[in-house]
Amino acid sequence: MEHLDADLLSLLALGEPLGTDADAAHLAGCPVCSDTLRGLRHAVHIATLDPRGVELEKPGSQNWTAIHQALGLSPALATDPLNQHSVPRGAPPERSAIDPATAQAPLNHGSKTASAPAPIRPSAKNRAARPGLWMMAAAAGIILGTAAGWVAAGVIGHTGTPSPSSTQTAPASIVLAQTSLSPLPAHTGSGDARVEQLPDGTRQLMIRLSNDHITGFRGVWVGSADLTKMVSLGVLANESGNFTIPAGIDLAQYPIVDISNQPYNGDPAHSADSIARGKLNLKN
Amino acid sequence: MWVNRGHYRSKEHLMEAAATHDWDSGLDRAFVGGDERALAEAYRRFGPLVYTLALRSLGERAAADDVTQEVFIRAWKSRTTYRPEAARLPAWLIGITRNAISDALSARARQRHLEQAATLLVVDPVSRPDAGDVDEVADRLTLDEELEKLGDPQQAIMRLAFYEDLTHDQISSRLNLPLGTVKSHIRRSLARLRTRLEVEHGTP
Repeated sequence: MEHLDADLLSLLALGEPLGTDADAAHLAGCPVCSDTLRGLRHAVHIATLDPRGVELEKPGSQNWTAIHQALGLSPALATDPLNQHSVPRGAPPERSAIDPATAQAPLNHGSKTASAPAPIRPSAKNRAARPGLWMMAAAAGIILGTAAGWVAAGVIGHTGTPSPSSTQTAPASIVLAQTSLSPLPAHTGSGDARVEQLPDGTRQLMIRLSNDHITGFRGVWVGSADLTKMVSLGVLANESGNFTIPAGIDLAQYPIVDISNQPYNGDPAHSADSIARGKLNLKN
Repeated sequence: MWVNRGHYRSKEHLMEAAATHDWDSGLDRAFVGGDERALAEAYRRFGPLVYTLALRSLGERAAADDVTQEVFIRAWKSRTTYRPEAARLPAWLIGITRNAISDALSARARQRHLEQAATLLVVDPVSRPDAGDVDEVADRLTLDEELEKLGDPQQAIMRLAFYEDLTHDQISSRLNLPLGTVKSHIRRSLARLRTRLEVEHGTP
């Protein structure tokens, strides 16, 4: 007998209620297919795992002392980082400042992620159950936006700080385009940019750029491919920032993301001193 | 009941795995660039996970201390071989941790063999039951990296399937992609995640 279609197995692993009775019968009797499904379901389980609630042990401070000493690190870093809220002085910024008191409830994927051997018609994708979960979470005073922000930040490697705007408009946003930002001559800052469409339809340009020693402030621009047209989106004050792209801007016409060093001279025009730049790879 | 899982634990030495997920790729680059603060930050975020993985596998605090120190020392010393564009730092650290743990286990096995001792190390039984959980948290970091590598639209598709619980039909209309395309992306992406997990655990 022919094995189950690989697409079908994948969708079953994701919890979609598909397949005929004949498929179910085959699966029940076929070690190859059931093994594949088990492996795929395990991958789904891990990918959707909520690490919250898994307790970790804190290593004793002697560990950091030993590391610090063995590597001859700066005396400024002598204190065990685990005893601090964050690493001191201009350190890479706290990305999401999770406050356990308001921390997100796990987005419970329920039966979908169960690692037990799979029934062919798993009960997941149970749309009706989900609003209930969300309401429970809301009743428990949990900030839902943070949860989605965390999912976005942690899972997909969109690791930027979930911005206030993106957390308020949780849960969904779609990546429309992204690019890395490469330094221009005489500059060292590099980073990346991505454009996400939030569920309300607005587009956000999310910038991350490492520090560069500049004399002015950092302007964020989108521009035409030949850089003859530039639109200012705002000022990048930290290592990362989110900027709303005006609805009238067609990114196909403005695919360049440019970060400039703007002198404090009151001139709103692009200074022509670009720190880093990248070209968005637009989907579709 | 599940809503309580995110709350504080009272025991001071216990930490939650929660904070391991938001790790900026800027930190990857700072790390490779030799910024010691990135090492300290990596330790702050992942020291507990590294330590707990080691403790669960080795069963002894002293041995877990050794592994923890070795992982971060080794990571820092070999940072020039780390390529941020190829791997995310959390997943890279987990890989180093797994190697260090298996080194420690084989050293122990050799030691046992030499001594032919009946007085083997006693593994603390209370530290065992959660081993699976902690391993899964580490695996999650590995898959996070693999998901990033998928690129789009695969990444967007998997994100909608995983975290918004959309069916392939719904994903197809949401992203305006043909159904067949969505299905084949899902199949290939899931297969890739599965393979990555198997490679990570040495089961081909």
